[in-house]
Amino acid sequence: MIFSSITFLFFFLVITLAVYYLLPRKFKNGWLLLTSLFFYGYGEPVYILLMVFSITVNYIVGLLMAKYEKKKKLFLIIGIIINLLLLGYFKYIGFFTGIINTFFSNVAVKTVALPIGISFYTFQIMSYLIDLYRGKCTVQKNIVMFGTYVTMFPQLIAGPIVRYRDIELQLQNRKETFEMFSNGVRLFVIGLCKKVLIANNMGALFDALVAEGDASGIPGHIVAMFAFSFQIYFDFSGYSDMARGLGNMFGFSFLENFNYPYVSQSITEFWRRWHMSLSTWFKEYVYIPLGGNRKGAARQILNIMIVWALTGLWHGASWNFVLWGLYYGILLIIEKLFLKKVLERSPRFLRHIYAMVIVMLGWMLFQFTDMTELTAFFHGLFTGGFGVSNNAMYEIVTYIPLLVIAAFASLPVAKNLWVKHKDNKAMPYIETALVIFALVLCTAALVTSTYNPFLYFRF
Amino acid sequence: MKKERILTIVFCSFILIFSVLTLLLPKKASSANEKRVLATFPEATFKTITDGSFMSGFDTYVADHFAFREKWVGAYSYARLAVGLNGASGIYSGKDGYLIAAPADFDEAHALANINRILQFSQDTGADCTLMVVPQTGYIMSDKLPKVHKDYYDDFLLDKMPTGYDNFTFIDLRETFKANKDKEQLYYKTDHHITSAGALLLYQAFCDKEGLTPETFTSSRTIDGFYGTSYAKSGLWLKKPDTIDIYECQKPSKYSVTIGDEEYGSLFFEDKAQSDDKYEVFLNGNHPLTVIHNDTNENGKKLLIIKDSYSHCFATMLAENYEEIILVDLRYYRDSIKDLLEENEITDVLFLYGAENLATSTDFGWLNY
Repeated sequence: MIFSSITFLFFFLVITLAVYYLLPRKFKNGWLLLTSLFFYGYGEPVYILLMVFSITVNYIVGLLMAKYEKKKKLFLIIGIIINLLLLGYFKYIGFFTGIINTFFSNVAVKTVALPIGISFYTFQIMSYLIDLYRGKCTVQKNIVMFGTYVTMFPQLIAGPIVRYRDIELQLQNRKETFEMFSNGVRLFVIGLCKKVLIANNMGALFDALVAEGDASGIPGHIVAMFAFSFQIYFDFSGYSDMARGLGNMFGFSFLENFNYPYVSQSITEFWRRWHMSLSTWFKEYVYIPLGGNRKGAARQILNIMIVWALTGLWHGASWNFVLWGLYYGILLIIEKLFLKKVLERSPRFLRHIYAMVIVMLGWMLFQFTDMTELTAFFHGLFTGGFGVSNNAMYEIVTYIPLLVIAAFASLPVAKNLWVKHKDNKAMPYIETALVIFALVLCTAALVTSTYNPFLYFRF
Repeated sequence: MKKERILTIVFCSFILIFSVLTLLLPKKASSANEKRVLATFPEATFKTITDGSFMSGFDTYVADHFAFREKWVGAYSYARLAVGLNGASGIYSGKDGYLIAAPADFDEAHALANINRILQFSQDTGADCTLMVVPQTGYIMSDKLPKVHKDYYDDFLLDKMPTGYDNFTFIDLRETFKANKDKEQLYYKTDHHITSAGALLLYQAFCDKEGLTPETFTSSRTIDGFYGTSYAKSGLWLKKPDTIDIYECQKPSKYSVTIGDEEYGSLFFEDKAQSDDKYEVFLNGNHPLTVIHNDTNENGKKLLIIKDSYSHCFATMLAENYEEIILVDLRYYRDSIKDLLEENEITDVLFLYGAENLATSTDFGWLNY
């Protein structure tokens, strides 16, 4: 199930919230676990079994680590291997057999339907095991609570990647308040708008321009890059906002996952603002254990490249994601080595342009899993003409207002206004009106996406 | 009310109200605007739940029956228009209330292959074949379009017509339509079809080519409140409806119209005037095979029209000049056209299509079946 659907918003959420608040405290986590498993299995019911298996195995590994203090490293390694094998099989088996197939053509390429959210919850589980090993959290002896942590539907399928230790206390003891719930509504509605009103429309613009191909000329390709950059940001950060908002509604608070990444003035800064829970995870559980920057410059460079190849691969089982990760690894190294100093002396707007050009080109590496499409796009971008076909021009012109809205929404303009005026007496009314307006628009968009006029129906 | 409670209450009421209304409000069986049957509640069995088809069925069900569904569609359609997305639904909101279909995706090779199949048919059968193509509304009524719009490909398509064949003639309607577009309303504003005035131009052009004496047609009655397909697609519910003007000959003949096993005594299906798709007043809408027999005119002339729905209004006029007209819709007709020609001893064939269908149809393969 996805948040931006009628089923979720008007049925799943209504029932889940109503029962949650009617149940006494001791059943609340159990209810969340139950509804989360339902949420997870809604699209692919058989994977509930996989989820139950993951929860049980990791729960037991955690217990064993706590019980046999001397062998906890062994159990940690076993736990990590099991999690990576599951992730490897369900997400990367096609990719790996594909590689083997290129060398030994007698191996068949195997494909498995990807269990949604497996990359997210696997990383969450590993954060639990590693932190338990490091003594940064205590063992969870209640399987319901552990299961609630792993499956909790708000962050289950698209993050943020919540570390166990960050919500350990909340799982056991949290207080739901109107203030928190209202704040959750605020976040959820913002996220829903980002996804439904901006990301989906930007996606339509991107697809239309790519379909025009070379006819859209260099300007068309540039607008397409803007469209995709907006699409992915509003899609992903919108999902994170909705996740945090839903978390609030159930009394949880998750850490922020995006902090206006498109205001960045360097790539280093971009990755401190984009998908923060993932960068933190890799830093804490891969980069630092590898030695980080403590073992000399050569080793640091190697560590950075390893982390970024893995970050790339985490995003998808395909070579372009590895390429995309390495692209950022190299750029981050260049910035560390000397570019940072050059940038510091450059004017602000130049730094911003530099960062955004890198990011936008990067998104194209990210978007095109097919290398022929990727090269075709870059061919059009760099060697195309300046003329734009009428059809591409139509797409660009009609989307200009939305592009402008998207640009403003990706900057902290509205947030600054909010901070400045939130204590104003009229603010609650304005805000309420805006929330209702936004809910109406998003519902209208969701309903319209299912409106499907069919011209010739008789036969 | 305490300040921090407002949003909680607003949000919860919003989702609760519409979920309850969706469950309680009476369900419609079909959607007039979408011209389709709406989803029924999925059957819950062990199999449908484990393979997920129950869930996808439920998604479709609640989407199809969501409370005030079409009002939501209208709201979003106007919102899109307000931010400049004119045409996102595939329909441009044009000047003077015109709702004009945007040009469909156009594949050159496919369109040319379609024309070639028609040519091939004429060569294979030796029948006297004529092709008439109704230009797209947006191509002719270009001054009604919004300033930025996609290119219409009528010129590309119609400039490619084969010439120099004895038994294949293409009647180019572009100039006639352009010359008359400001004198009369040739296209409906809310529908993709041509009006009776537009059909009359087709009739005159075809009579001219065949050397027939055109009869005089005048408006006999009108049907108000016609909302067509462009309206349904656009979601712009505040647009004004069209009026269907029915043209009839001064002294009309008597007809029998055969559709499937049913025989009717008129070219016009008056009961359709009350239905959702009022354009079906002409020949009762789309059918695989429709036979019009003129009981008054015994001139022995027969014609096969291979067509889409653009022909329906036109055929009610041409019926005056032929003893028998057979209309075949390749989208639905699955028997051999060549057999049909032989069995009925027909030597004249008219292909009549809207430009978009001619370019994009995937049914011309059935011609040579």
